[in-house]
Order: sequence, then C-alpha cells, then structure tokens
Amino acid sequence: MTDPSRIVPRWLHVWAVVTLVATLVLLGMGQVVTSHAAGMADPLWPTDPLYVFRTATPAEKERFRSESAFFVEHSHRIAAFSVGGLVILLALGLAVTDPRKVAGGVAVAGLVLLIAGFGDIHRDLMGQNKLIKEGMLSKADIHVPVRATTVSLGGLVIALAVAASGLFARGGTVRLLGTLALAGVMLQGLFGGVRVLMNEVVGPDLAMIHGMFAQVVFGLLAAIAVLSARPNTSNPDAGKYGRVATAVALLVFAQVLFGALVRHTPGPLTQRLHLLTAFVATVVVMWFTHYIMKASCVRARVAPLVWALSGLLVVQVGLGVEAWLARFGDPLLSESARMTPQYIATRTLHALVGSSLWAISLTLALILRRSSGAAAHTLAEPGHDRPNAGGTQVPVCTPETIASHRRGDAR
Amino acid sequence: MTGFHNGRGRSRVTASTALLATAAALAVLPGCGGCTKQPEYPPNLTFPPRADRLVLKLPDKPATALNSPMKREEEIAALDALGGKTLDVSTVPTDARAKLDTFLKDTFGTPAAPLLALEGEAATRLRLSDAHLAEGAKLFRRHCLQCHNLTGDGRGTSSNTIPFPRDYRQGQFKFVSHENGKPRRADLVRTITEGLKSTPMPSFALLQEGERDLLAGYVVYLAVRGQVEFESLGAMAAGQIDDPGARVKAILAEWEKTENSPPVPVEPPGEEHGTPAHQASVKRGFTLFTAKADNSCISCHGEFGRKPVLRYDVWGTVAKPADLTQTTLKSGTRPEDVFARVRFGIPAVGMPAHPKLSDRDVWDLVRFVRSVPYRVQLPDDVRSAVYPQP
Repeated sequence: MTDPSRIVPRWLHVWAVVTLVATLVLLGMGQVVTSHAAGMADPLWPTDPLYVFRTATPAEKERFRSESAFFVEHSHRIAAFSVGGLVILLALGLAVTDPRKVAGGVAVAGLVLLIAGFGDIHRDLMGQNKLIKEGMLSKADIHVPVRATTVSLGGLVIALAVAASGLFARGGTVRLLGTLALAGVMLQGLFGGVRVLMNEVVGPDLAMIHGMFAQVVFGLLAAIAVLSARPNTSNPDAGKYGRVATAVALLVFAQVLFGALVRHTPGPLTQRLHLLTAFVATVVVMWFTHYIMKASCVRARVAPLVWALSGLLVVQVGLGVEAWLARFGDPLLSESARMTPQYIATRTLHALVGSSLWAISLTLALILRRSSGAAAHTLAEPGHDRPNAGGTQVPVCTPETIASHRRGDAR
Repeated sequence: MTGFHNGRGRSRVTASTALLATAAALAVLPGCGGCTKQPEYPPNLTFPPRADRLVLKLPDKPATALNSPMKREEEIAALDALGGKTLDVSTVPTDARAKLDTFLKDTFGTPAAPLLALEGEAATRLRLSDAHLAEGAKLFRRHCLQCHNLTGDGRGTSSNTIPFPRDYRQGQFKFVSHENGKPRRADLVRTITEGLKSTPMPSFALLQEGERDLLAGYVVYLAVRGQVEFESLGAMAAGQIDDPGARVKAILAEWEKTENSPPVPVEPPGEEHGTPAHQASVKRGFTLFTAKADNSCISCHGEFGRKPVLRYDVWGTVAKPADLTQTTLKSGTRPEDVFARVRFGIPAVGMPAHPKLSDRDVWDLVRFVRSVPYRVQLPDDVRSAVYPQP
C-alpha cells in the first residue's frame, strides 16, 4: 500500500467497483427473469455453473438455444455464479488487509470454511437431484446436508467474530461489510434456488424475498465500493447533510422494496404502498437536490451524483407510469397481462433504474457522512485546518477546499 | 436558540409526524386485509369468450419446423394455406354466440364461483362439486394460471416465452390411458405431481395430495367447459343445430368412461434386465418397432428419434416425436408409462394407438424403448442397428 491515506489497496477498491457494476448487471438479469415470468423455466436446481454447456441433456441444451425463458433463467444463474466468485475474492482481499495479522489469518480461514461448506451443500443437493431424476429419490425426501451446513455456518461465525472485533481498527467497517456481503450473496443464492426447489409451497414468496434481498446485497456492495475509496477531505458541515442524505436513502430503499412487493404480490395494499411512496419520494428527492445544491461546502463534491439522482428520478416516474399501465391496465387479471417485448423492457428498466437510485442515494449518504468524520483516519496538512473540540485539525470551507473537493484530493 | 430547537418547535415536529403517520395509515388502510389468504377471483370476473382461431383440420403433410412461442397465432392462421382448416370465431353469428356465452355462464359459472349446473350426479361422481371446484379454482390461480391462463387456453403470461402450456379447451391431452384420448384423473394427478421432464411443467410434489387432486378436478372442469365451447362454435360456423346441453352430457360421459376403465397393467415378471428372456423381448420389440408398415414406429421416430418427422398436433402447433436414444421421456420412463403411450398412443399429436397388439407385443416394445438409451442393455445385433457408429 503506497498511499497512506487509503485504508485498502487501490486494486481492491477497483475490484469492489467492478463487483458492484457486475452486480447491477446481475440485478438487471434477475429483473428480466421476473418480467419474463421465467423463474420456473427450469425446475431443476441446483445445477453446476456451466450446466447448459456441459452436463445438460441434448433436449435441455436445445431448450437453452431456442426458448427465451430457459435462456434468460440460466443466463441469470451463470451471472450469479460469476458475481459470487467476484465477491469471494473481494471478501478474502478485504480480510487480508486487517492490520492485526493473526486475526486476519483467522478471518481468512473462517471465510475459506464458509466457501468450502457452501460448495459442499451445492454438490450434495446436485447429487440428490440426480437421484430424483433417476427416480431413486422423491422430491419430498430432499434433505439439507447437515455436515456441510455446520462447516459453512462455523466458518461464517469465525469470520464475522473477527471482523466485528476489529470494527474500530483501521478499515474495520469495510472488512465487516465484506464478510456480510459474502454471506449475503450466498444467502441470496439459496433464496433463489429454494424458490425453484420448493416452488409449489413457497415459490412466489421466496421469489419476492429473493428480489428484495438483492437490494440489500447490492447496498452492501455499494457501501464497500464507497468506503474502500480514498477518504475525501473532512468537512464538519457535511454532518447534517449526511443525516438528511441517509434519510433520503432509506426512503428510496423503502420504495424499492415496495416495488419488489408489488411486482410479486400485486395486491391492493402493496399497490397503495408503492404508489403513495412514489409521490413522497419524488417530492423529497427534488427538495434534497435543491438542499444540497444550495450548500457550497458539499455541492462541489457530490453535484454529479445529485444530478444523476434527480435525472434518473424523472426517468423512473415515466417508466413507472408505463410499467403500471402494462401490468394493471388489462381488464382481466394482472397475472394475465399480455407479455410483449415492450412490456418486458418497461418493467425491467423500471426495476433496474430503481436499484440504481438506491445505489446513488446510498453512495451520497456515505460520502457525506464520511466527509464529516474522516479526519481521524487520514493525514491532514497544516494551514488548511481549524481545530475542533477533539483537538484534531479539520479544514474550513474555503474556495481552496472547494476546489480540492472538485479535484477529489485527500489532504 | 432557534424555534426549531426549543420546546415549541419539538412539539410542532411531533404533531406533524403524528399527522403524517395518520394520513399515511389512512391512505394505505383500504388495501389491508386478506394478505395471508389465497387470492380469490373478483366476483364479477367472467370467463372471456374464446377469441382465438379454432383448428378444425390439420395439414396432411409433415411440418417443416417447430413453432416460435411469440408467433403462435400467426402460425396457426397460416395452417389454411398448408392444407389445414381453421375458423375465425368472429365469423360466428353474433346472436348465436351470445346465446352460447349465456349458456356457458349459466352452466359453468365464473372463476369465483365455478359449477356444473346441468349434471349434478355426474359432477358428483367425477368429484366436480361446487365446493371442489371453488377450492381448485383458487389453487389454479396461484399455481397454474401464469402458464395455462384463466380458461385453460395455454396462453398465460409465460406462454409467449415457453412452448406450449397445454390448451385444455378441446378436451384433449397428450398422456392418456384410454383409447378415447381422455386422461384418467390419476394421470392428471401424476403429471401435476411429477411434472413433465425436460419441459417447463414443474413438479408439484410438495403440495398436499388433496390439493393436487383438487387441481386435477379443476383441469377437468376447464377441459369440459372448453370442449363444449369449441364444439358448439364449430357446429354454429358449419350451420348445424347446436345443443350444448346434450354436448355437456356426452362429454361428461366420456370422462366417466375413462375413469371407470381398467387401469394400465403392471409389467409381468420373469423378464428382468440382463436375463436371456429380457434380451429376447428387446429383440422382438426392435422387430416390431422397425416393421415396414403404415404408421409404424420408425416412420415418425426416424433413426429411433434422432431424425424425427415433425407433425402437427390438434392445437395447430408442431410436435416432435421423442428421441428414444435419450434417457428422458416427457411422460416418464416407468414401464406402465411407456405401455400407456404404446397401447393408447398420443392421439393429440397423431401417435396412433395399438389396440390390436397383444399385451405381450406391447411389453416387448416397452422393453425395447426403455433399453434404447443404454447400449449395454441391447443385444449385439440390435445395438449395431440402433447405433451404427461405434
């Protein structure tokens, strides 16, 4: 690590950003699966990552080539495996940055146990599937592999305990988030898989949970991407803006969750929740844009993000209207809405822009909150600072510091 | 200290928050209730009248390609140019159509309140009482409607992307165990329980046995309703006198006849895998399979299914004869499954029944078909014929 102001190596921050972008693509593919109503296009789960190219029967390979639902669903599985791999490396890389060498080693060992155990769970379930296919096991007799589950849970506990114990060390938060993100990605995979395996019992409910939890994992990865970046110049005035931005991010998150609810369980309650919150969120984001852009101290740093938030919001409102009409405009039942390419594209884009709004609002909140309390973790140059109550030096809001915000310098 | 920070400011914030929360609750409250119940159909929702084309006659020639799910209606309409015959239901006289729609509503009810008004006793014998149908309807909405749609026309939301959820409305199904082409209730329950291999039809094995039975009953109900509508529209378009009441009776009688017929026999013992008797049976089955005759097995399952001859099915779409060299057959590979296919055929796709074959001949064919995917189970001469490339 050549830059002492960084809490993790630059390559790891770049990896975090790449993982975030890949996860956004995965989210989009998941939303295509839902819009396509392709969640059960292949009732077989789990399968190995390149199943449709390797061990699938010729009939299934033909389905992958010719049936769009099968293609979309299996592409989503392949992308999910890929993102899982990215997050594994991210979590391991973050664990290794622990300044407590022994603890870091134990955390890595815990993560390895978690990954190995999870892989074993997958392999065991695939073996059971093979028996079901051959008629030697009934679907009702599928069981959870106890040993593999115990190993992976044990590894998770170890990794989390080490990460939690180092929370106040340098980079402690981002290491904990890394472990949580890995656990989250694995849990998300299980939600998706059990949705298929137990479709008739909990399928639609788990599909909804899978959609909602994706936003949680996406948020974790966005937080890692932000917090692994080089810290920006401290600014105590950013504190109140950070609190307001946090409230806005939570509101946007709630709206995204309500959107997932209405997508999967379009009843009268969920429709009202999503519609009414849309009005509130639109007004709040517009006000927030004005609020931030009035604040010269923070505006320079976050202006592009704030404009992106407002711009996407305008697009989202339009997409929301079209998606609503496409889904609920049918005089029969919402489940019978005719699926056309426009219908699929509108609903998918609406969900994807929603996820993007959540990521942007969370990023804004984290940057602003970080700006208000970054002094203790960076090296600050004298001459640009004023003392605060704790005795450490923090910069004042001057034209020079504003210009430095714009350049993205750390001092 | 500003007004915001003093006691008056705080109480203003508290009052505003309370007002906001109350307003939000009032706005959302009308949507509450029923979150945990099975979704029920709106009481004023009726089954929509059939709007898609009726397929009355199929082209004689084989099909040239499989269908694209997104172009199903266009490809069905194109059957007329290929020697088939379809009917645009909008050509049926409006007053006759309205009379039929009224009859259907009075006889079969609505999705929220399905019934079989005319035939109380037959409905009871077939376990199609109002109570059975009402529960079946709710389960159908939750588990089946996405693909099979409200009337069972196979044109649900997912049907644009997957070929092709079953259309029940001609009262025809593929995997039957009676020569009249109707499935037993047990056949439907098995399909629901096990799904259809290598197709998007999933297994519903984790549902309660009673729930699967209710679903099967509701499928029968939709099939009866659909067949009455299909045949009545065809009769009206042909200028024939239509008696839908008599049609309901006749169709229910067909279902009852199927239900009361003898079950598929169990495979006789004595010819287990690996025994000389089994090998001899497989050889006889091979001879029957490859016999040169009209409608012989090999005429459609060319090269034992590796070069299938595409055929039109009764729904106007294209069916591909199974590749028997693969280990998966859609309706299952148990001996009784294959027996039923050979004995009763798959009338909906033109696979003929073989009523004149003896049980022994059919079992020989069954053993041959079940052995084809596994080279080691085939006698040497049969293996070299089925798999000429080493």
